[in-house]
Amino acid sequence: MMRRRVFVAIVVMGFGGLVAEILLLRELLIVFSGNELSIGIILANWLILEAFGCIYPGRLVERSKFKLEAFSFITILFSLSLPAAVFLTRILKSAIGVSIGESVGFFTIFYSSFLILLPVSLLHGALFTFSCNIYATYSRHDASSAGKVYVYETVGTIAAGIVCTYFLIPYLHAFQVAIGVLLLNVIVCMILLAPYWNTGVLQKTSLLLLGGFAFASVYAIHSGRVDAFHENSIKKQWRKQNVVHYQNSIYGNICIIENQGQYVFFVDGLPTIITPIPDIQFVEEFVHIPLLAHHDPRSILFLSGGAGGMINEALQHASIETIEYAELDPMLLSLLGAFPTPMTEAELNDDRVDVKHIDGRLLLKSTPNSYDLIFIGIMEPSNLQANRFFTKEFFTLAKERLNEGGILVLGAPGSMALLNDELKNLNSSIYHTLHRVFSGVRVIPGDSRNVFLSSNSEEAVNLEKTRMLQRVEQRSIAADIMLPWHIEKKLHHGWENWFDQFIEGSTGKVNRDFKPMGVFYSISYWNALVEPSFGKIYSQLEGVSIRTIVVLLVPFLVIYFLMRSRKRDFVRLAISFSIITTGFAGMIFSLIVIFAFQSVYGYVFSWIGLLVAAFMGGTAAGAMLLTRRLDRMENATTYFISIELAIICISALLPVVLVAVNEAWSSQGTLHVYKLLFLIISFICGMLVGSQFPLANKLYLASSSNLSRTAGLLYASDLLGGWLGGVIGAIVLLPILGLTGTCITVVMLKVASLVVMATQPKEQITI
Amino acid sequence: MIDKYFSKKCTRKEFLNTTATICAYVGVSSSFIGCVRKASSNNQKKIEFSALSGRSRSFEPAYMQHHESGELKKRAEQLWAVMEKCQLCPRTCGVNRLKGAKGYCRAPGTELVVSGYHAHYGEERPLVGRGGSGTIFLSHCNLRCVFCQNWAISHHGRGSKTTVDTFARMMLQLQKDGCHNINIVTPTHYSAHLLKALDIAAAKGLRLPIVYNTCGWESLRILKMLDGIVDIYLPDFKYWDSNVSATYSSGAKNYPEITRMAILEMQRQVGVASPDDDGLIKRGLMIRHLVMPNNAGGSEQIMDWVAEKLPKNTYVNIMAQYTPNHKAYDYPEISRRITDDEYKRVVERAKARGLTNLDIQGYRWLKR
Repeated sequence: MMRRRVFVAIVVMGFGGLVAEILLLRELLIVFSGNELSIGIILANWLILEAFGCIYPGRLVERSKFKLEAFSFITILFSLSLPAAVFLTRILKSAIGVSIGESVGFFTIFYSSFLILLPVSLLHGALFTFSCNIYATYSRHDASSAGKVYVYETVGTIAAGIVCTYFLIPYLHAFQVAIGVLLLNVIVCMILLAPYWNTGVLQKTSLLLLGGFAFASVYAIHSGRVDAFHENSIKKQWRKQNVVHYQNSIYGNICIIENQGQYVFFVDGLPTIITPIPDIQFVEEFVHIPLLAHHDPRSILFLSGGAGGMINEALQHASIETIEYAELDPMLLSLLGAFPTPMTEAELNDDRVDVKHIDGRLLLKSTPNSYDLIFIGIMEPSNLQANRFFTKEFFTLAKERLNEGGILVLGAPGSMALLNDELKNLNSSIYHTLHRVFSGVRVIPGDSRNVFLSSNSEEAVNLEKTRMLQRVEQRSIAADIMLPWHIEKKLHHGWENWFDQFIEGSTGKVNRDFKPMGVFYSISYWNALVEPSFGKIYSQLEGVSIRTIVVLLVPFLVIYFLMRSRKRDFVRLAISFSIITTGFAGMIFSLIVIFAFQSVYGYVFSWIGLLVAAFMGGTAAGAMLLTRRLDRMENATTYFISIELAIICISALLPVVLVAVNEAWSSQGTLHVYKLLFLIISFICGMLVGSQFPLANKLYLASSSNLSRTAGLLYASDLLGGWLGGVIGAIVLLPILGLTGTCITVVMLKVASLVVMATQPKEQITI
Repeated sequence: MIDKYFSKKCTRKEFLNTTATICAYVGVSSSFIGCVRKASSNNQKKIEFSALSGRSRSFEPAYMQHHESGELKKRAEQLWAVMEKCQLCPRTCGVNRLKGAKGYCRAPGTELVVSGYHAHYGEERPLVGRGGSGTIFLSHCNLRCVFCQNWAISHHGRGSKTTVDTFARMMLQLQKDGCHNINIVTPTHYSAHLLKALDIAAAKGLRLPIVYNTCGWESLRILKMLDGIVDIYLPDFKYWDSNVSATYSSGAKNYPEITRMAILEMQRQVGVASPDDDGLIKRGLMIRHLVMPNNAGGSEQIMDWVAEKLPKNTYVNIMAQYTPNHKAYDYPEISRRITDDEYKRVVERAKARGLTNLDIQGYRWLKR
């Protein structure tokens, strides 16, 4: 009976952990703006703190006489720290003197997210170690306990992923979710302690306190105090501004502030659209110059960013018959409708405009239509998702969808005042990537953004001023007989050479789906603006190669073997090292599969969720399978080494399979079959990663009798590996080494851990 | 109504018509003018610009006389000495930059920081011509406005440390690239460096006019030391109200008063900016004013003052591109874009007060 109660507590612990992680990640990204580096730093802090919690606070359980009471106490502390962390996140910018919409650098993101996550992650990490100990107490004190806790926690995590994505985030605000987690945990703790009501004062007091918490939580929700607290914190976050709407969707957060009839739409904390007055200078040059460069624009496609001025300007050209507009988040469009201005109403309700709620790349992949102009409204490859619109593969697809003489138009960061190497490399990479696909690329430099026009028609991109002026007259669109200076100056012949000189000597590297250099250069540029001291270090990472990995690994192995030759008891270190590398491999696999799926199919939220679920499901299944066989297993080392080999094999095969799928994308019919393949790959990767954890516990316990400490240490190793994989994989390995290089790195790491494990003296591994 | 106004009144055509009455030769846009720069050498003091009209006129930048007499070098040394107890700008913070101290502008002692230099084709048309304006952006700023679009440079000082010799080489390079002027952006806290570099560059053949592209908040004492050196003053006139300037520009309460005096001094030194035969301005005062939401800058009073205190044909660029940047969202009254009406009101006021040389940005150039 008690075992079941503990089981529920562990599942809820896993559930609460992921809900807290998702909630705080989203809240922190509103504050820090979501490029791949800031996502990486926040996740890294979460994982590293949780790992620390597993090892140190988690060890307290060994000394505790009242394990269940202590577990409940930490659970309640964890639950209370969650709303506190959400509140702290919202007041963070004003506390550190940073304005709304202002960016902060690496160190600020690192220390502030570290401090905010500290209590939540640390306590959650400690709960894992406590859970292992409690589970062992109420079942049997054996090695399989840690494996089972790992499985149950993963089950909770899978449930949290689904519930959070489809129910909690879209329908509830952060404080409702946080208080909900508190209430759930209070109930679970009451269930755990209920059988001990009569055993002593401590238990009675604990249960009464828990009852008080439950009552307070229900009252706070029912009385609207939670809502009031939420609104109050929003006011503090958006200080001095009139917030008229604040909502989360599955894709992000949108906050709208109203100011004397103007609405500023902040998407994930960044001012994205101002209605009814757009950045008219940029919108006009971005839209009108390409439209005037085309001899007869009829069909146009906007991939993101069309609403709020661009479509409105394009509609001035009477020749246009259709404008297709793809925007991924339907909430953005519905909010533009909810806060209407004459301009947005006119552009979105025009008969020629067809709005589609779909990922832009997916639309381009699946549409039978072709276009005279394609506008990309995403202005920077700041993360892996955005980078999909800046790669050679995407440009090739866009070219296929362009009519003869068609033009692809996109923007990238630019500056007239700060011309640093990072900006040059970012623009140079985009330019060279476009040139691999299009014969003509013309760049119009700008104060904040450069505009790239690409076409196979030389005439379309030479921007001859007289001809464009003639087109203005032919189309009868202008109120004056000449181009205004802000348009005319962009056509100045001097700009033609300007950009060539600007990127002279900069990188010629091509941005690819499976080698997203754009992300690296974008992060480098961001660092140069907000944290140049860190940026200098980061930029040096461009020199990382397979040789670098070898140079780092070989001395490590040499030192390890030298140390082992003196002191032979190194089996624990070997196991921990294996788990770290497996955690690393697991995170890389997960990242690569999602990333490859997005490249082939576009961003499909439900499928991304399924892929994550398949990976986590695989992890749980692998861990469960091995846990069940653990007692009967005679040679755990052989199993362990076999799994190491299997991970090496799948690391080597992954790039081959994914590149083959990517190459086969021209055949629509087979594509749907490949979707299943992605799910299977995710599941197998998860299974291999998950199956090693119970085995590692068994092997480790052969030389240690401390179950909870062992479980805590190995879980921490797993998290540490995941942290390394998440941060280094996303911001260094994938962009610099590409898919193949990243997988080779995983192979090398796992070969190293295999060698370390396989060469352990036999007397050290007795199982 | 607004559309009609912008389509009929605030157009480039009208602007050019207005400027044409001031300068008889501005019949052809500078963009269509063939501008041939003759090779320059150490001995060559003059650059000739030939226009399509066939007319040609020689030009000698203001600083040449002082360079030849040694006065430029002397003034550069005097300005350098001012940094011992720095009073280069109206903050007069008094730090010893010669010993490496950072003042309010955060310029690192006597080191010069440059964020970029290039031929710029997006400045005011009479500065751009065919060859572009040779722009050198200097990092750091003494004013540090909350809405600054170049916050990375002005507030955080992004850029590269550069020597005075390299600064001079940049000027010469821009001349070699065919630029029509040397446009120094945010020079106030580096005026000593500018004069030193100019002296070196002049000795090596620099013959382009110097554009002093400033926030307008200049110490009168320092400006007098630039007399006979700067050819074109390009100051902003941001605010009329001292409380507003204190709020948005880091406590610069005396901005309106100091800037008014500074602009009058600039006018005294270089006079009205009139395009030359080739459509390019090579000497004179060109004022920029950025229209802000809720008339935060006091635009109408500024137009009144310009019309009253300066010649009616003073060049005034009325800028419409205000966007809340950097820390502007901390100030709700300026955390939005300006409306057509707000811009139109300023232009109407300027015209009503008789200002004839207006650079008006008619974004509503399309039929609506």
